[in-house]
Amino acid sequence: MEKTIELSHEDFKALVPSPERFFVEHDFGVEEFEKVVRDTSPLWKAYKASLLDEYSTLGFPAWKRSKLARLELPTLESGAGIEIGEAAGVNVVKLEESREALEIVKLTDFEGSDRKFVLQSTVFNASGIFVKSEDERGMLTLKVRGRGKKALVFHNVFLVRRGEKLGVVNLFEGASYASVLNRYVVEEGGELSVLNLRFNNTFGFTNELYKLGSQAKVTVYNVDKPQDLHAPFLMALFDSEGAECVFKSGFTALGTAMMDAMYVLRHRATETRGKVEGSGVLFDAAASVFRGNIEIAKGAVNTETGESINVVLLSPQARADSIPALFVEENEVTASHAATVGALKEEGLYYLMSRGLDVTTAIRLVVGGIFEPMLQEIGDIFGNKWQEVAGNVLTGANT
Amino acid sequence: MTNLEKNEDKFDMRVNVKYRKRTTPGLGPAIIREISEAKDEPKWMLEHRLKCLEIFQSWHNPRFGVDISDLDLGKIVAYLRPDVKKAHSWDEVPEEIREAFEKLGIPEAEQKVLAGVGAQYDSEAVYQNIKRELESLGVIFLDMETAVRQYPNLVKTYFMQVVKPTLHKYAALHGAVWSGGSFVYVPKGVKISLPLQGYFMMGAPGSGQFEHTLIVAEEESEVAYIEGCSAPRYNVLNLHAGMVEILVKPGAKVKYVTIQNWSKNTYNLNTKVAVVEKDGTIEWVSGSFGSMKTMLYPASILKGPGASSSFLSITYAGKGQHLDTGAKVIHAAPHTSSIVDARSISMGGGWAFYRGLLHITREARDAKASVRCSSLMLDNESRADTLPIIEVLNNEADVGHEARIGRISEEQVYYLMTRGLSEMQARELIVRGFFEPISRELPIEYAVELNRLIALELESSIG
Repeated sequence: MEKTIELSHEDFKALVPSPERFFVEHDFGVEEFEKVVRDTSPLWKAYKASLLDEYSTLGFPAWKRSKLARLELPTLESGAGIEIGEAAGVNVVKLEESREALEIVKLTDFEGSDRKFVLQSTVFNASGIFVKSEDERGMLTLKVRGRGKKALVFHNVFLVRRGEKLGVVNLFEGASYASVLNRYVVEEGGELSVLNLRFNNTFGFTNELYKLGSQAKVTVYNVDKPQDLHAPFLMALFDSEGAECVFKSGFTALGTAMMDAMYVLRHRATETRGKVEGSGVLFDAAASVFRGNIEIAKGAVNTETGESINVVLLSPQARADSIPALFVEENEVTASHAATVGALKEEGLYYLMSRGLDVTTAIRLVVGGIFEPMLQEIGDIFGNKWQEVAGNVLTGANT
Repeated sequence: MTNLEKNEDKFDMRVNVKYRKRTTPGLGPAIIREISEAKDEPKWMLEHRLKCLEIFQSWHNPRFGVDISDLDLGKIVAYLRPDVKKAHSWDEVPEEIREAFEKLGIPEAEQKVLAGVGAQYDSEAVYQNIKRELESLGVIFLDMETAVRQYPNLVKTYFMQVVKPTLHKYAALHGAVWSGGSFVYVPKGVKISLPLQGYFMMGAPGSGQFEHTLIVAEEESEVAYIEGCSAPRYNVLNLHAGMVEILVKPGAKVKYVTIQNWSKNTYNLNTKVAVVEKDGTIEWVSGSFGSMKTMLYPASILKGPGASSSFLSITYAGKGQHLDTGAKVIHAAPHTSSIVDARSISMGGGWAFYRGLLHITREARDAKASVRCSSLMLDNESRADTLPIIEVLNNEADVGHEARIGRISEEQVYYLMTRGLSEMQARELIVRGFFEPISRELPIEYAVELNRLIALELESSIG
């Protein structure tokens, strides 16, 4: 299993704190398992069964910085489906009908933000999909919209085959509980662009693994506006030379909402390039935690990697935590990180207000400016429609 | 390059010393009572020690940082009293101990650049002296035991009030077995122009050193304190769990300089905290070169409006070393400011880990803070990590952070070689440049010493 963090060097090891755990009153168990495996192939059923015990004996993590103690796990929506919008140049099948997908899943086992959520999605997924590129320019739009007080649990696998391209838009909206697990494998020379739009979900846990082949290119845009808590985890594995991965995150949080994000770039091949960029705006008593772990293994020479995070606080009650980490075992590399946290520049606001704008409009304009470069890129890759949707999530009327 | 002559012998302070008192290895109430009795302490201090022991025994080990599972406290001798009388003149210090300190240049430096010196060998002070004119201004510079006896009320007011024994397991251990260290009291308005120095040496194998340094700088006063630490290398583990508490009263300024060169069989689990009141300033300058494993995160609590902190550190991790160092800054009042500039060098398979916390509270409006981490990896056998945690709880703070990890640029080396330097000299010069912000904060004698230490380490690692 790909652990999220392991710190050792020669004969030394460093301790990594592990969270306290708690159990909820009605966790998923055998009853839910039986429901979701009804139409599953025997191989998949056996695999899922092999993880059920581990899931049942593991409590939820009592993360120090998030508000998980308030977590209520609603009833599992075992019939929820993914609405497939635009689909071109791709082959889509039900995940648990595919033997090939199962092999990929076994090869990409990982811990994620917490093992509990990865297991939950793997074991209790009912209608996730396996997507394979079939063209030099594939495109797929997936939408999930929450329905009442139900838990939505998905597990999807994406394979971008050698030399092919795939663009994916994942829209996930309005769920009271969402646990989503996506595994992406990009083969040699493949290109993948992903736009994740996740907003107004009460509790959201996303775990995504990106496994990059040689010269593969991955660009991921995360656009977030949590209702209560969203904890996205994205990990890129640079397993072959020349791979490139960029994670870009834009988030807005209002009320008492919280973003608790973790990005991991694991460089373990030569000549790879990675980047994590985050921009966030926090209103009211909202909070954010932005973790970025960049790891460079010995031998990963000529790695170029970096991280930057900028958070703007718009209220005296808001809180921003930034934890950018570098773990480096190779010296022929370029590795850096930077972070800033602060208020909006008052000069900009005063200027706009001197031109007749009220303070709310002026703030909205300045906030829009923070996300503008990312939104432009989204427009270039996914089209104006999705740029507009992303813009509305980050700077829409209710912000 | 002439001042970079190597003299390894200088750092080998192994001498034969007789001990008057040596507790049996391990810990327990009987040993605590023995230590307290040997020091002829007041009852409150014995009670404090026993309370700390209880906390230590019930507390868990740190859940982060270096792995200390092979540290067997049952084998550590907590208290070792050399068979000497504390002296006020180096001539009175027994020859074998004086030699060890002379190798480090302490008596010589005292005459030239210091206002006072305290020297400790294992658990007790062997030398303490302060310039007479400072004494007449009311400055107190004593070894901790003497201060407990001569100024019981003053010491009791401050002792382990900045660092509570419940902070972590090794703070509690320290509270139970502390011995030696310095007490510095600077009265209101007194500005001491030359630094005071405490030098701590661990001489015996398998021993622990737990010195306690308490500095109280009253309003508008100024003082600089240099702490040096070293030990000869033995095959068994030594433990250093010292503690430094600093109170910076309104408008006062304290500079605390540490050059740590514990031998590479030492666990260095040290705690240093300064509380800074209105418009006060704390400056930390820290060089960590020695020890096998270190956990050290000097903390500044900026409690009063306008308080400021600067932290400048160099961590050098060579072969067989895992040094987990960093800084904590808590901005707890408006208009406070802080700078952290943490540098590390790793080579020869060493592991330098920067771990820091910057916390800006709701109340710390208009706080300004910057954290900068730079790591230089001199080979690809070594490891350099940085893990800064930044927590901002109000929207009127201005916080910036940057970090960079890399190697010596070959272009720079080639350029210097075209100017006639050998490759080794070129690399040494670049490394010295990386250290320069630290060395310029030291009195010149110490800066030269630091350069020698770097040259010695570089030669053994890449020479």
